[in-house]
Amino acid sequence: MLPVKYLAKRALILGVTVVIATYLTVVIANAGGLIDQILSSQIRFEITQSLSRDPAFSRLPEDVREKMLEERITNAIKAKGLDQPFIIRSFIYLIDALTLRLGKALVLKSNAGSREVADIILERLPNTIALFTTATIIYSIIGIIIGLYMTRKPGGFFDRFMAMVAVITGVIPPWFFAIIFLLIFAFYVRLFPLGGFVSVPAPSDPLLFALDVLYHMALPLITWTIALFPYWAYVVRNIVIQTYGEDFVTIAKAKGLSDDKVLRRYVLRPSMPPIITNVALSLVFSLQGALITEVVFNWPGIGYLLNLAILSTDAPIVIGITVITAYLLVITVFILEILYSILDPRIRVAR
Amino acid sequence: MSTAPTGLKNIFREVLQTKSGKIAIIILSVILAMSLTVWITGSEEVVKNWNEPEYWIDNPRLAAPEWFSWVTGSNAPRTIILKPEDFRKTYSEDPLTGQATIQLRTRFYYDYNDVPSEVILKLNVNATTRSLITLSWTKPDGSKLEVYRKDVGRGAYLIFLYTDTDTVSSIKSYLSGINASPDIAVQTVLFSSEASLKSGNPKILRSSDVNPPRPYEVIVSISSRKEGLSASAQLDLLGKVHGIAGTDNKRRDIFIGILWGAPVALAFGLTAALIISFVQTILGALAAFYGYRIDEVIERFTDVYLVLPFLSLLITIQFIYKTTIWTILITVIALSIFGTITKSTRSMVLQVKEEPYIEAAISYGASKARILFLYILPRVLPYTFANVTVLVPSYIFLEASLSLLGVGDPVLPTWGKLIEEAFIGGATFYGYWWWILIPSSLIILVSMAFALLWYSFDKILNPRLREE
Repeated sequence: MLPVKYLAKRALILGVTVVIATYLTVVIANAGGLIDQILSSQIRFEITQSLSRDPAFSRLPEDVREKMLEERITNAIKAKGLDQPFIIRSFIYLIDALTLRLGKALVLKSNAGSREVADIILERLPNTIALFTTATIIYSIIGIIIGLYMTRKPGGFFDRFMAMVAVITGVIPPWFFAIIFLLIFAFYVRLFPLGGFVSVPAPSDPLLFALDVLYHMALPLITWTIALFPYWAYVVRNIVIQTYGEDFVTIAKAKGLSDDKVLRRYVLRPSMPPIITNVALSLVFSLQGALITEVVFNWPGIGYLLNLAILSTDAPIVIGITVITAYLLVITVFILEILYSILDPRIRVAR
Repeated sequence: MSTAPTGLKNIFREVLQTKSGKIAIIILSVILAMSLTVWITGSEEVVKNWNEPEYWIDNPRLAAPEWFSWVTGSNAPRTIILKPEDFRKTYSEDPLTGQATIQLRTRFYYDYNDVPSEVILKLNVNATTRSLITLSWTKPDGSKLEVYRKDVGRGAYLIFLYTDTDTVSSIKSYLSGINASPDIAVQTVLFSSEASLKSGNPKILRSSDVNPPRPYEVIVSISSRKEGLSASAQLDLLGKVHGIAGTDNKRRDIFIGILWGAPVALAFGLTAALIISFVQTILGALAAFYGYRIDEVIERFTDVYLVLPFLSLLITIQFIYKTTIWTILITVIALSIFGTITKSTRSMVLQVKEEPYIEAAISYGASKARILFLYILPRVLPYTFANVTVLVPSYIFLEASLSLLGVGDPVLPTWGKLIEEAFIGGATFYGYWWWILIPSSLIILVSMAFALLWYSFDKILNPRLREE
């Protein structure tokens, strides 16, 4: 039976969390209204420029010119909704974001020429999924296998060695590996290209195109996997070892069950929830790509787009990516909570 | 089953007894000593001039570290600077015409297997009329050529001999005079014997190639009206290796950047990690200890903070306001008041709070503040310190990643900035390994030290995870 009341409360809390987080993002991404001021002065500048180049306009008397200029500027600012104070607009932005009406980008365009934020994001999303979601799946699997292997002989050579590797690589971010690997494997060894998505010019044959993309994807994929699997293996190992210390495992061992059976029935099952949570959240975050790694590899995914959007103060794109990630995140968390409340008797009883 | 030791002192002692803890402490002490020395004895002048191209003009561009030439045995050229006082000055006057000539003459032994990366003549001329400058270049084999001839006004001149148009045309006419191919580069002509130039297979001429060894000789002569004529010259033969860590594309000594980056990196990482860990710990403890409203509020804020896109917001703020590293620090702290440490501390305090000794404290009337700060917090502090050790490298890398995206501190040379400039300058594309690997290895070294420290903490605090 589902603990409906508990889940309803959690849903409400998660909803409030998304609203507040989105609002904070709206305010910061718009620099507390500063970007609107920049936009307004940009409009003023453009209109003044275009009018002063108009010969018919310069023949008009001074006061008429002045009036006409002001009129056009106010109209343009009104048309963009910039005449309202930021505090009001911030709530309009918030509601738009929460209802996923992502609107138009201020500066950037999609390759197809669209200004819709949704189009721009959707155009990049496949690139990010192809690289980072694949990499996340790969490193999660490798990590789980190695992590379980480490628990075979805790404190043994392999365990200690992998733990040390995990601890050291764990503090080094993937983009750092990216730079070093580029230097070694792309520059000195020349096994891989120096970044990018396809060769220039891109091959026209679809099969060759796919192969070319794979060739460009290889090094980022390897980098991301190598950078992240050791630490993940260490986390898996610790979760499993923690379960090994539980009383019910000791009892199972005392009953004389085979090691294999103890592992399968009494250790792995209760270890699954935290491992699944970790993998699920990593998968959600993988959709956001990796801002810096994508910049380093020149990979046209969501992270690269985010960086581009920030550096051209294109707030709608930043807000769009954030709100989508936030939704995905809380929905995942919520689904997991439902799952666990069904699967884990302890949670069911406690509530 | 062994349990975790309690008491900060005991834990620190145990951490120091592990091998990884010892290695970590040694590395950190060296870096800390280095930072303090730089902080105390270093001159601010270097940092002020970090972005001034003129300050670094006497260094070669993109030179590898000096030790690299020992390792490879390539005997790559080092920088030779012939200062104004290394020039012998002779003055002659023609009483009939009123013309005077200053001759500046210097010599140097050159024994490297490669030509200098650049040869720069710095000239200061003071005269009432225009003066004629000539530069003659005599090689150890006795051959002599005129490298430069130009008529200039008063002022200071920087002549890059390899690329200067007058030099190139002088060299061309010299080459056609000796019937050699006119396409040989200036540097090759300057440092090869005339015979090898003629044969079409130029070979570098070292001072020791002739017996007895003879130097190169350079004569700069300046002729003008004798009234108020004075001149001085400096000749820079920039090498292909430089210092301990080489130079970047703006001729800056990377080692100086690394030295000055160390205190900044440590201060930034340590301050951020300490403040954030402690604030999060205290908030988590408050939430668990007081419960109800306070717990609810802190929990909600923590959830919000965990959903906030930390890096995007930080980059946005930094991009718009372009602040110094210390303002970045404040922003980072503000964006991390709540976080995962709040959550883990909260769950830990929830357990500790139920223990009998707390009950005892309540029963003898200890105040709430006393219980929280003196009885509960010390129990969770070791975990906070473990968190500090793992957070320091992540904040050092955060600074580096901001620099890499071009939104770091605009002035200070930080480790991240060095890596960013190397990356933008195409170090990975052209293989200037020292430019990127040396600052990187410093960051890795420091991170490794903190990671090892964290490993020892983890080992001691979670003994259950180590059991056979």
